[in-house]
Amino acid sequence: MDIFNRSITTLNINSDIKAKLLKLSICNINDLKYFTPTKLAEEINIPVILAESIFEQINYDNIKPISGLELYTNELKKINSIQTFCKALDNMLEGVTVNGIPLGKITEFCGPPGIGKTQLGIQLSVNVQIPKMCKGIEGKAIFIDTEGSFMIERVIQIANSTVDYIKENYPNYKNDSFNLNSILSNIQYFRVHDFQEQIALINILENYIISDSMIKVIVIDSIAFHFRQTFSSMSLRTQILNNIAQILMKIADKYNIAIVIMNQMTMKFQRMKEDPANKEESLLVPALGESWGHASTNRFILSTTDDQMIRKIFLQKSPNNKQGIAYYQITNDGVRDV
Amino acid sequence: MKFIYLDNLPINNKILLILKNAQYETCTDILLDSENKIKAKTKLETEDIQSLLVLISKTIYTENPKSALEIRNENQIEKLSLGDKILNKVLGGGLPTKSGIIEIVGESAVGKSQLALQLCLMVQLPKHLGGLKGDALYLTTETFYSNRLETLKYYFMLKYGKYFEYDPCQHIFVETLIDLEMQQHYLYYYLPNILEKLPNIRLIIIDSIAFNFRGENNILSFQERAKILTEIAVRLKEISDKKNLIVICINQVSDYINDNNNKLSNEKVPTLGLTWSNCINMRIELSRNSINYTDNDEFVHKTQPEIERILKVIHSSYMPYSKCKFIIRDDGIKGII
Repeated sequence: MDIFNRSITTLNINSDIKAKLLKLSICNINDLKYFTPTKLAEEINIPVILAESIFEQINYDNIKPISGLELYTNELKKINSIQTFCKALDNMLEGVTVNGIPLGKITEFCGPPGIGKTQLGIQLSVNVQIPKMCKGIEGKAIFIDTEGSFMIERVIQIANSTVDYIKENYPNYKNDSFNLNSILSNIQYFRVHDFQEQIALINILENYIISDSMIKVIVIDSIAFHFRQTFSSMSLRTQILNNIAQILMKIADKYNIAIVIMNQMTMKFQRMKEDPANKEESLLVPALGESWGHASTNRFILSTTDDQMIRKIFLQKSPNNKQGIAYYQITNDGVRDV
Repeated sequence: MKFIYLDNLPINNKILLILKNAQYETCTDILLDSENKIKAKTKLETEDIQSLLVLISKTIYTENPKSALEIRNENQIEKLSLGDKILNKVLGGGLPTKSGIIEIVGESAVGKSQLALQLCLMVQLPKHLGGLKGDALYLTTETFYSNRLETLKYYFMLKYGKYFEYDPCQHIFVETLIDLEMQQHYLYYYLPNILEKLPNIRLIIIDSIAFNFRGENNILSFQERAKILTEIAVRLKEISDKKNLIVICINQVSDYINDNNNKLSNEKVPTLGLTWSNCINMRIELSRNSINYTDNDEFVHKTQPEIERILKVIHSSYMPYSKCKFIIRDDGIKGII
């Protein structure tokens, strides 16, 4: 198809201007060829800058695709992930520059209560601060707590163990700046009491990120709690959640931030087709429904095993890794390999 | 939850009129719609809508973020001792304030109410003895065991009498929630008022959260029940956080029916299902051991064999899975090794 046949209604301009253009019987881009920005501005009585922006949009000479090689070398330049201290988990998300929770993406962890979602969140807000010399990214964290499970006592415990871990594994790292106080001061904590506050906070989250460019991870624990049953209409809920997802995706991509979302599990009743008695079976599925499932780039499902201490993590969705299972445990020190 | 009318905000009169014509009255109305939807309804410029959204969001979310360091230095979280060293150790020093909803779950007659009553007394102790120097509010749906409280108080006063100029039972406020409607009404509307009037309350106990949901006149569908439960949970958590107090919900257990062979297994599960489990922040499970406890403590007069019981911290965001054994005596709950 000839690009010059593109209708002007598809351009990103105000509908008033579109109407004016159509009045002049300018229907597609081809018709604009006979105008200069100044002439057009005069003709339909708009500021010249606006007219210029219209022409910028249709200037196809400017568009140059990046080659795959270029993209790859750009990727290689930066460390793009946060390690979790559970190597089995990190390895599931292995990529060229990624070995852990990726920056610039949304990663979702779904699990029943008591499985370690909050622990994982705290561990990541600490691990994001690991110095660059020790394969970290030296960032800061935002922790959004909707359930009230963020216990400072536990954060101190995990932070202390992480400092010890770095000392043990990187004896060459002699800098004192990675210590308990610095770790605690680099975690910004937001408490959310109801769904209204949650929407409001997500709306203004970008302001906080602009004011501190070091923020590299945002943990939301949990996205689901206030959206579980408060809504009478499911379509309203879906719409709000889609909105939240869009804002988060934008933030993740624009500022190269890892967004980590904790989600609850819910029961879903399903009729078994093969069963002649048409019995209903109950399944444990992530909360918030099907359409929310598209929000995250990577989705993990956490579950228990027969052993009280060992937990299973299942990579359900990932664009560049295959599905897989790993095991982890929550120790006094935090999240660790089995 | 806040309800703020748009009239009370510094919004340009022209824009305010447009918003009202598009049926927007409160901040909530705006927040529930997406930017594009607002644009479609009001035909306002994108910049205007964006600044409106920021203004409204800042009005609704007024709290300033805190760094974890500030939270540690403020040191607001206090811990309520259970009155026993072994039990305190299992719970990491006691039950923390500001910790959302703590659930105590177990079969009947395992000691749930006993533990709750003991906490009502402990909370009145001065801080250096593990108390919070506060009052207790006991919301009951069954019967309030005032005679058991009297017995407990007798032994409590023997030990701590010198710290009290008043009868500690005067500072345990009791309310009976006779049905679900009252339970809902009380928790939504009365409770915030009562906490204003009696600001010294540091411990709220609901015994039990499940009873009114389980009655015969229970005609609620699963969805309705889940909705009420989450709403109650949201309010209780907010109170716990803002008033810096402890909220304990006592829950019952029901038999777990195994799907595969429709047989009753020995397993007991907490009632109210996954919805409620998703709402709570910490679960403490009490259960009975089948053996009787024997020791050579001759000073305690035993009328009947003592039953060994187990306390487990099932899930909590600050404690690992841990458990200990305990027994119940006239003077309260005692941990044993």
